[in-house]
Parts: sequence; C-alpha cells; structure tokens
Amino acid sequence: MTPKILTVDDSRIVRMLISRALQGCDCQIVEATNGEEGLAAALRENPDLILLDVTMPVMDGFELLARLRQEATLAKVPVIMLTAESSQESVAKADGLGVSGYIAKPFKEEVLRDRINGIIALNAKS
Amino acid sequence: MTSHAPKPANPVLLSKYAMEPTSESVSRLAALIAVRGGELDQIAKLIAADRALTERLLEGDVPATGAADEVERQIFRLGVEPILVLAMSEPLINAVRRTFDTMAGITLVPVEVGKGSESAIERFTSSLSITGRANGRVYLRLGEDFCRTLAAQVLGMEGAAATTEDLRDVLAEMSNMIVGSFQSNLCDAGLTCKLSVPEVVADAVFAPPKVPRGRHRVFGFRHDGMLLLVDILVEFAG
Repeated sequence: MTPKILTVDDSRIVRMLISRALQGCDCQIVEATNGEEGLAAALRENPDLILLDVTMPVMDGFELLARLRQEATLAKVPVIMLTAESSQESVAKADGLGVSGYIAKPFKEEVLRDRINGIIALNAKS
Repeated sequence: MTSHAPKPANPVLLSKYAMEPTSESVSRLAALIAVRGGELDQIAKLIAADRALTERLLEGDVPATGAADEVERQIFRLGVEPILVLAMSEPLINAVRRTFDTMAGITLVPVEVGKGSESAIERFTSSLSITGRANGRVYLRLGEDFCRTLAAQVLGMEGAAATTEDLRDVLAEMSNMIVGSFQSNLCDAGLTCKLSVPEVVADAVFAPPKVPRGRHRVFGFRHDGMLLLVDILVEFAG
C-alpha cells in the first residue's frame, strides 16, 4: 500500500521543497498549513508519517504533537520535526514527546528523503 | 536582558538525531553571558582568546602582546553590551552563510559595508523579531536581481519565471531559517527568546526603529556582484 505522508508547515516554499524531495518516491503527500489543520488532516487521513514544523499560526507544532499523542489512532504515528528551532530545549521537548526524527532547517533534500525512506522502510517491516 | 545559565548540550540527543554539536561561537557567547556582570579582565580574557572577535572589536590589527589589556581598555570605553552584540553577530553571520549555501548553493563572501552607499540596492526587506531574554530584530535587505537569483536557486526554476510572490515567499522562508537558527543559538547560550513570523516589504526605505538603548550593526555579503545586507538591532533592558 502506498504510504501516506502528512506535511504540516505554514510555509508554501517548504511544502514545495518537501514535495520536490519526495518526487519519484512511491508515496502520497497530504498538506496542512497549521497545527489545527494538521490535526484534522491526521484524524481524517490516518497518515503513515508526519513532517512537522514548530512555529506556525493557530496551533504550533508542539501542541499538535502533544494532541496526536493523546489520540488512540495516532499516538504511535512516526513524526519527524522539520524546523528552524533547533535549541537543546526544543530537541529535548520533541524527544520527550516521542518523535522519530529531528531535522533542523536549513536542510538538504537528500537528508530529508533518506530519513523519510528509513522510517517508511522500518514501518513496512513491523 | 538578563542572563540565564546556558543549557549544556546533550550528546545523547545530538547523536540520536544526527544534529551538529554546539559551535565555538555559541559556546563563547554563552561564556560571555555567564561572566557579563563580572570583572572586566575576565571578559577581556575570553575575547582576547578569539582572534576574529578581537580583530572586530579593535577594528584592526591585534597586537602581538597585551591584546587582553587592549581589549579591556576597549570594553571600558564602550561598555559590555556592544561586545555582546559583536559576539552575537558571529552565530548570525554563520547562519546566513550556511542557509544560503544549503538551500540555494550560493556562496556568500563577506564585504565591508560603506557608510550610506548601500541604500540604493534595496528592493526587498525582510524582518523578524526576537523577544525574551534577548530582544531585537534582524533584517535582510537585497535587490531584485539577487532575490530573483535566490528564488530561482531555491525553487529550481528560471529566475525570470519566478513571480513576485515567489520572491517574497522565498525571502521570508530564508529569513525564518536564518533567524530561527540564530534564535536557537541564543537560547542555547542562555538567552531564552521567541521568534516572530517573518515580514517582507518591497520598495520601502529602510529605517530601523530608533531604540534609545539599542545597538545596531550591519553586515554585507556579496555573490556575483550582488549585495545582501544583514542588520541586527539588539535592545538591552535597563
């Protein structure tokens, strides 16, 4: 089955770069522009992986992450943080909420692609 | 601006998420913040141990001997706050160069900024503010040619095909990455602060807000004859 990836980022440019990075990868991309939209999309789409920014309007990435962990159907969905916030505190907070990856912006597309492929391959095995 | 103890890097987390360790410039800033209220000679010794920072502070050649004394005299003349802004500038400059290189494959070369000569190049100005234990604003200013080149490189398209919306959005996201990285460095150095969303304006005359206790520095970079100006304005609480 084609894996479904939910991208939650308020930047049109970052969403475009993610789509470009995943061109040729056999996956379906769903997009949301803030945490609230992201939560609705996650509940509706049941994604296999979520790429999540931190600083966004309406609901930020950490709040969305905490809400995902409270949802029975989404509590274990792998999440990769993709954010310019790379302080020790932010990384520790995300780690405490059980993220599967943390990529600091600026990012190389091949790094993003490799991390996504690694997690999707791991999911497929389990 | 009050100092808080810097958060030590957690090597387990850095390794788990394949993240880069704290840079020397951030460690130095953290050390300076930690001794900010201390003796001048302590601060002078920290600065004198870094040749690039000492050169910038003394605005010229570093004496072979007695650099720490010269630095101490300069701190006495200027006060500690301009020195902190100088030390904060280095992580910012690194973030600018790294972001342009990683996202656009553009190598920026630092250049000296002439007084007043830079105002003609501006077409787009982006700005973001940081608030918390460090308060300030960072501006990126560049002409249309450079903005078009940047958008083309980031989006992988011909420069002529990029719309004005593309130019603005790319500049906004580049600024977000640069200042986000800088803000994270400040947090790691003990200056916990938050970041605003980026704003981009076109064709506006650059006029940084007048802040009585603020410190303003501008840095220039060139790429293929095109100029980028980065301003940092930091306000210190009373």
